[in-house]
Amino acid sequence: MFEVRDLIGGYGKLEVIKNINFDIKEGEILSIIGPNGAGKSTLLRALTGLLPNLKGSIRFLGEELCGKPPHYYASVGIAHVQERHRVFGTMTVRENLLMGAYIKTKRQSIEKNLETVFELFPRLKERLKQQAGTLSGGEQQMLTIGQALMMMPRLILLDEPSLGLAPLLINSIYDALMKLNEQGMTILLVEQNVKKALQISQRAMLIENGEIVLQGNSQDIKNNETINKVYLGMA
Amino acid sequence: MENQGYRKKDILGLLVALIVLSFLPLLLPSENYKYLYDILFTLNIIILLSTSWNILGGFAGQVSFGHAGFVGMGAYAIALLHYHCKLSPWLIMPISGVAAVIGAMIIGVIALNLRGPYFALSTLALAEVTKLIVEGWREFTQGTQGIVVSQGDILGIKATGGVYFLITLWIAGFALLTAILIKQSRYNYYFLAVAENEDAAMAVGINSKRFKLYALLISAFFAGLAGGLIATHTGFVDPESGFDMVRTVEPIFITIVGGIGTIFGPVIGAILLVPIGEMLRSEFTKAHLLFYGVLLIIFARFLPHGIVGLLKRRFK
Repeated sequence: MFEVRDLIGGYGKLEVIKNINFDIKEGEILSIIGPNGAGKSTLLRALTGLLPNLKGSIRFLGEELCGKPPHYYASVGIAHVQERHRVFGTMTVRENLLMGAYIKTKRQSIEKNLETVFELFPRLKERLKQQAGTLSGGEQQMLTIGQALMMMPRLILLDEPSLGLAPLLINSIYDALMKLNEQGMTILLVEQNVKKALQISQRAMLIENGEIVLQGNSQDIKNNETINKVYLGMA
Repeated sequence: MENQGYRKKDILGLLVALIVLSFLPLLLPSENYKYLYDILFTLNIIILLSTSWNILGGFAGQVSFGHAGFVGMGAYAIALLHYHCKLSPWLIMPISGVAAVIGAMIIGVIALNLRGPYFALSTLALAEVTKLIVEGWREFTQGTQGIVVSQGDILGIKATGGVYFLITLWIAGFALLTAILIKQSRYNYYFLAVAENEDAAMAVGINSKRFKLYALLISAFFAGLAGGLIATHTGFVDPESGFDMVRTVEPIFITIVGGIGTIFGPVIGAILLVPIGEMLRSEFTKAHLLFYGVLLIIFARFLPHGIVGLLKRRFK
């Protein structure tokens, strides 16, 4: 459903991502793994229109998105959950969730979506009137994912959902992502936590220096010798 | 999103205050209280300017260092039309706002692509460029010589201090009403989202540039009006006074001291600071700016939400 062809981009004259080609299939979790500074987040910024210098093609359900402004992506059904759980700190949890419904205006579907989010993250319902800036890191991460779900996306792009969170919280976030995927949500997951990412995803790609160096089934990649040595710390 | 209605008391309070204050010229005739009305005029103008700055800087989070530019555009729009077409400044007063809006559109195309400090600095630069154009285009603007704006009558009524007070009072009131209406509308959330995190705002589908432009245009309109009113009140405008940096600095100080992003912060800040500033100004020129500056540092350090923030904490 999401096809990326010959994507090249960066800041100014600096090319950060080079010649990226991949597909996301409907209903799967595809994870992008790689070391710090490999270009994972930059790639995600490129995929959501936030990178200014971009060449190549990004097609979503047949529509060309390369060159479209960032706010357009939400309207075609792509939600981007950014790194470091960025909530609107001075708004309440409820207001944050409603902001997610910016492009949807039907009252009924908003109420229904809120229920879906609460089912996934009951904690958010308890904190509905609390200022989002006062939530814990894990709760903020839940909120940003909840906010993304409010727009009823077809595809969610997640940037390092485990970043800076305690292991227990990471597990509950990942459980939620699994549940979403079982319900049919397509997810692109950028993650430094290689073990977690390979566990949850059906397919994975390894990025180094802005290039895809390995692509395949998560299971195969898990068993790949280099990956084992370098990223999972097993001989 | 669900706070519609609870601002009704704000609107009501504002209207009552405006109507009550409108009787002031009846009680205190302009002839006997010239100095008082001069200060009240300054007060109203500063409330107008600070509210204008607050809509852009406080609501939408786009800090402008270029408000003097919008003030100057408004002032020169009135002065030039008066000078070239012999139009009464009072009949064309709204044009000062419109001129600043047009200027803001041009500035917006350039500045709104930039963020944070880069936006702030580009507004400063563009205001300065506008001033230099006005200064250099002598055949049209008379350059540094300036233009005399005759105050004239307002539809047959003599423009006394009391009349100026009433006009600026209601225009400042109109600006505050606009601020209240923005605060209670959905737009407040869109502005807030853009102010807090532009990338995240775009991720939920908000066209951040468009909302930043809206805030800029509304803000410029009121700043331009302030410029037109100042030029008419003074009866003269030249590049130095029209584009005076003070018109940028003062609203920032007053909004921050009063409470940035709140509706009545600019009013409280102005009522508190302007009288003290006027007293200091009589000691030596621009002494009030020194005082504002020191106060700003104190507030930024200890009370970042200003006086309104302090009151809110006390009475919660």
